[in-house]
Amino acid sequence: MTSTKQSVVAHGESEGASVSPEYVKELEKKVHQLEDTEKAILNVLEDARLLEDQLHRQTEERESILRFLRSIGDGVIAVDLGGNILFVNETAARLLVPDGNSSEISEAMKGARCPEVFSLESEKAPHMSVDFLERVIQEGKVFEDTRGVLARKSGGQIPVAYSVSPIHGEGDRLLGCMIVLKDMTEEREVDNAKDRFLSVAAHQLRTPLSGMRWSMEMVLNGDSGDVSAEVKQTVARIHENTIRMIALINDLLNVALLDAGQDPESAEPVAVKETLADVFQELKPYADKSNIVLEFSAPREASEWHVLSLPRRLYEVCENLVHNAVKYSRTNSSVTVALESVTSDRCRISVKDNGIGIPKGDCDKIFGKFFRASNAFRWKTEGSGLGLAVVKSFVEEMGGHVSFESEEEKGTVFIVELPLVKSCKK
Amino acid sequence: MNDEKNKNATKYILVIEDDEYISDVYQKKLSLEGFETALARDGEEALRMIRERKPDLVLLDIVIPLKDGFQVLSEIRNDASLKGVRVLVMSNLSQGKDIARAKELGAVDYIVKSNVGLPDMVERIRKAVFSE
Repeated sequence: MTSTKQSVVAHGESEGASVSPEYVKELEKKVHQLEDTEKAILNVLEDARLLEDQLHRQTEERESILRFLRSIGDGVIAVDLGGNILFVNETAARLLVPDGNSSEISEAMKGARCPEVFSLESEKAPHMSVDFLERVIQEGKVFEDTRGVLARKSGGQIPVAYSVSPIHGEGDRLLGCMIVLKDMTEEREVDNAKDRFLSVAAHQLRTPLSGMRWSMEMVLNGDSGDVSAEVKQTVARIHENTIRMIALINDLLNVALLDAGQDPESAEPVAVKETLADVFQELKPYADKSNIVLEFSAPREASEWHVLSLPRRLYEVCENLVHNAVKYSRTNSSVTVALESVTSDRCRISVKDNGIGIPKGDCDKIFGKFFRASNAFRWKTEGSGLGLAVVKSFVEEMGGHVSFESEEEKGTVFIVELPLVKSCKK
Repeated sequence: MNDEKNKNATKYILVIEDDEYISDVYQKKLSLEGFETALARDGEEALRMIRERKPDLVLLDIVIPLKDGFQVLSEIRNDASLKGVRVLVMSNLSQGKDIARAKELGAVDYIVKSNVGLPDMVERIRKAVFSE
């Protein structure tokens, strides 16, 4: 820039003395003005470039967020409050329309009405679509179902795990919801294979055991002719152990099926008091052997109390707790079972023994699978360590809660609280 | 007790069981109780025998050769001439869905073999035979 000025001045000088000093000044002023203008223009250009960069970066950012969303391994669907689809990523498009170009489908689905494309269901209630928008609006928070079903309106369905979360705009205004889907087809297949394997394994193990059990029962009943008292005693011991093996198989099957999820059977109202009476009848001979008295108390209205349970599960819970109480009691003592009401719609079953108790250090592990307290193991070596794990799972499945209080050498009380159901109609 | 046996003696039970050990026990115990019994070792033999002479009760295992227990149950149900044949399922399959399926197909009761003692089993068989 300075070189321009110099050349202008030099040029003026070379023209000779006819150039007045005023003229030179005027020229210099013009030159300054021009220089300012140039600077301003350059500044504007620079600003424009920065702006353009920023815009570019923003577009890039937006694009990459969309790219990330589009290529996420889980299905993502955004829906507005009116039930219109805002966005479908490629994984979701593949789940919704299995054959076709997923990026084209994901474009084409924008703006479509949700209920015309798909619905979400739960395995527990097949063919009942979940009104996820309504639920998000009401609860205002994320909800999920690991055993869900994605039903396509075009036909077909696949097992999925899904979560639905609210999308909030400025000022916490609810804009719609975001559905994240994971295809669980393979997981469910593995579950089913595991289920089948367990079912077959249990069947094969039980077959010889049932034959053994029955033929021993025939010997003990005198059906197979007279045998000496000594032989009878031996057979009785073998019989006891056979029953133990059968119980072990049942425990294992129960625990394994817990992990595999629900039975398809629906739960039914089960009478609590009646179930406890059945358990007492079953366990009385066992308690008698150690001269342990089984005491039971319940208010009169308890006969009306029903809880919602899958068949046999309430029985299994009570049987496990009372059996444990007897098992870990000393001879000539008592086990007290009380059925009480907590509130008008909750009951409490407490099972109290005066047995060996649970050591403090083992308390947090007592509901764990295959766990047995150290003193329990010393007291009676047999036991699978699965009983309480089954109790906890079953109780929680029924919407209840199990806890205990215990003092070593003094005894333990297990407390189960369960929600009652009003109707007892089958 | 003898009255009971005389009453049982008028009843014919067909046992469908492929495990020799278990079928021996069934037959021994049921004859001791006074019942008349016969044995089929697979699903096809079972259906043939049911058609030849209608039993008062069928004790049906599920996992058996040729035709499984579920198939036997549905054939009994779909055959008008076999209307009224009572089937008590005796199986070591214990899953809820198997039990539900058997009952849906018309089984009057379902016993998981290993989980039931002989006296109980006899009681349930008697109940299935004599219930109206």
